[in-house]
Amino acid sequence: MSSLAPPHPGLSRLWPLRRIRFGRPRGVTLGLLVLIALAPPAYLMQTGGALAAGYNIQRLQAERSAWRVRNEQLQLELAKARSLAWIESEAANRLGMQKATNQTVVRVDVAPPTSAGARTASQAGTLSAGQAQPGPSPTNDRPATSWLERLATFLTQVTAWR
Amino acid sequence: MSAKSGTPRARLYLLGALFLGCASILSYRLYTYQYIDHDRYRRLATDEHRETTQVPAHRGAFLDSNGNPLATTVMFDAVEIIGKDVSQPEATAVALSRALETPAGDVLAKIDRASNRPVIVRDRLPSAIAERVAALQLDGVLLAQVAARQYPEGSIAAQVLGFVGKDNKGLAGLEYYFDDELAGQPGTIDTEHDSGGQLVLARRIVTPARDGTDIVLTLDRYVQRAAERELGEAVRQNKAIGGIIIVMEPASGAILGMASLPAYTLSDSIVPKPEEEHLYKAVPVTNQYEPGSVMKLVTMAAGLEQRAVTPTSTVDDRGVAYYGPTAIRNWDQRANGVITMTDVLVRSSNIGAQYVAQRVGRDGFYRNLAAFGFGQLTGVELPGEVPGAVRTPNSPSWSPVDLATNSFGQGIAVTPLQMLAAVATIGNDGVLMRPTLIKAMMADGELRPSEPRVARRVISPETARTLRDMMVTVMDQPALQQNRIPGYRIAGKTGTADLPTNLGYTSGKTFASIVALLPAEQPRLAVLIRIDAPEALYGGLVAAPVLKRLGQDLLAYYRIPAAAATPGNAR
Repeated sequence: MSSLAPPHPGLSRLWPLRRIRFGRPRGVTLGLLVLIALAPPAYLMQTGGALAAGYNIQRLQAERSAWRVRNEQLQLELAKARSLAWIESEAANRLGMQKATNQTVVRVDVAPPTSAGARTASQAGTLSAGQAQPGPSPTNDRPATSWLERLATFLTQVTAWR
Repeated sequence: MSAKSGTPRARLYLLGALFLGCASILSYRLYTYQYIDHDRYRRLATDEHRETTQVPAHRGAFLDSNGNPLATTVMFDAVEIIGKDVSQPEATAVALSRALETPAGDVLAKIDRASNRPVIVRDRLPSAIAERVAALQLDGVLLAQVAARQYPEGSIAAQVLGFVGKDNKGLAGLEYYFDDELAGQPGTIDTEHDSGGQLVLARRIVTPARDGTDIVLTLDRYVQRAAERELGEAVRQNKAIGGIIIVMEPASGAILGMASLPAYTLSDSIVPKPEEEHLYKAVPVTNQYEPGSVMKLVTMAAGLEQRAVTPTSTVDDRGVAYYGPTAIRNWDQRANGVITMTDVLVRSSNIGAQYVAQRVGRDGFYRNLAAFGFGQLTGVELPGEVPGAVRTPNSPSWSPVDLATNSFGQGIAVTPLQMLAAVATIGNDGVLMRPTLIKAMMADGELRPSEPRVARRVISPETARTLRDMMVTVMDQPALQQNRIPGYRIAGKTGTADLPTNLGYTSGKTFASIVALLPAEQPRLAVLIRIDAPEALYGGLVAAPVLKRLGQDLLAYYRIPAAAATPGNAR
């Protein structure tokens, strides 16, 4: 009796079915079993992964928030260090500076601004305090003079004015 | 047999009935749980798993016109202790005291072993110290983040900026006026947790917070500081009870500086006190006063505009004018003789001013007052502004004497800002601009500039120029020579008005003031200085020296050339 012979005569009618059940379907069944076996760990892994990501997000958010707070506090310190109150205190107490009692206004005649300079000024919009009025612009169409010559010219003008 | 067989059957029925009863009860309960109370139980289940956390919005900052922060909100850490959770109070107190650099006894005193409520040990901690505390990992010690309003420039423009309460809501000044814009919209994080309390990532809904709008003010920190410094000095020197300085740009109505004394000090933890309520108001718009001789400029503007007078027209000033039984006299009780209209301003002649008002006529005079904005709100962005008090011929209590007294600034109440806006109109070639404190708003990264708002043309450019020239003559008079700014022509007018009390006017107490346009040719700055109840009484003596110091400072700051002033935006 061959190993493929039906084990019982009564089953001989079902023999073709037996082939179907234990041939290719065995792989399918195995695959299904593996899938079923893997499903819980996969689910756990997915859930675990989501939880871990959740933790990570919470941690990173806390970290970002902490850095943001630190950044804000540093910006505040920076603003305080740039404040007029601080500058005045440093100038008076550390550098021993004091307010000028007598101000001298010196009028210096300068060349009118070039078109490029004028354009730049107009692009800049409104004139802010602390910015110079449009004056000589260091462009190429202006004859180059050494700083010594410019100083001499300036001193001559100041002397003439006085 | 039948009895025997009946008994089990009866028992069976009984048992069946019992089961049926139980099943009915269970079914009923199931029905109530699943159908009748479905929503309630669903909500309970959801609440157990879901958590909605509010994300606070960042309150907007106030910046000066050059972008320097004047008021900003910064998050700080606060150390809290839940006494019940502290296992070793002494050790905890010692460890915390080292980290916080405070006495251990103070910390220990805050640990109440019976309490499960958090008690703040220290707030407004810098991050570096907060990290040190966190690293200690002490039982019952928590770190909570709290927002605090900070003032990097120190306490400047206190009455303009205002302050916020513990809940970060604006309570005064611009903080109150723009509270909705500054506050922003808080966001939410809607999360679900599993049975173990762990966050379920897939069910996380975030509604981001919309941060508050940053507001760029027209105030310039340098101008504001200079104004406050000079005002403080003037009040101290003159033994005055207070004062006001406002600096405005005539071309745009932008307020560059607004200082007033007495004031309160801005700090990160202001607790409003009822007895200090009067200090919290922006006095330049909430309090009115009789402007005195400064008002003669407005009267003269009407006269010139309606061609009732010219700068060289004359009036015979005999020192007194009668309105029925009421006598109107000059401030010095003297007669000036025949004087020109320019001299009326130079000598501050009340008789000359009432003459101009008579020439203009009552309708023209009050129409002119209204055109200059008196008796109306300026619309500046500050809470509690008052319109002032102008009694017109339509008022039942008005009499012709009012026309005379109003012409030299008595019997009329204005706010300092109204007065300055009127003077700035003369500096802006006759166009009244609405005073503003807002240069731009910055929301969601977008900068929205605020355009200058024209109220109306009040006088012609010619009238404005003529009046400025007359004001220059006022400032050039010998009595004010020592207060001239070398190299500059300044247009101005002094004023002195009696200080009213509940019992009438007090002699010997005045509002000494001056208004000025710098430089006179093409004014870039309009300034009002008022010193309250100074010893020296008069505007020329008290306020003019302040104008000189402040004016020199501001002209140098804005680099306005001495001989030939150039037009431009002062901001």
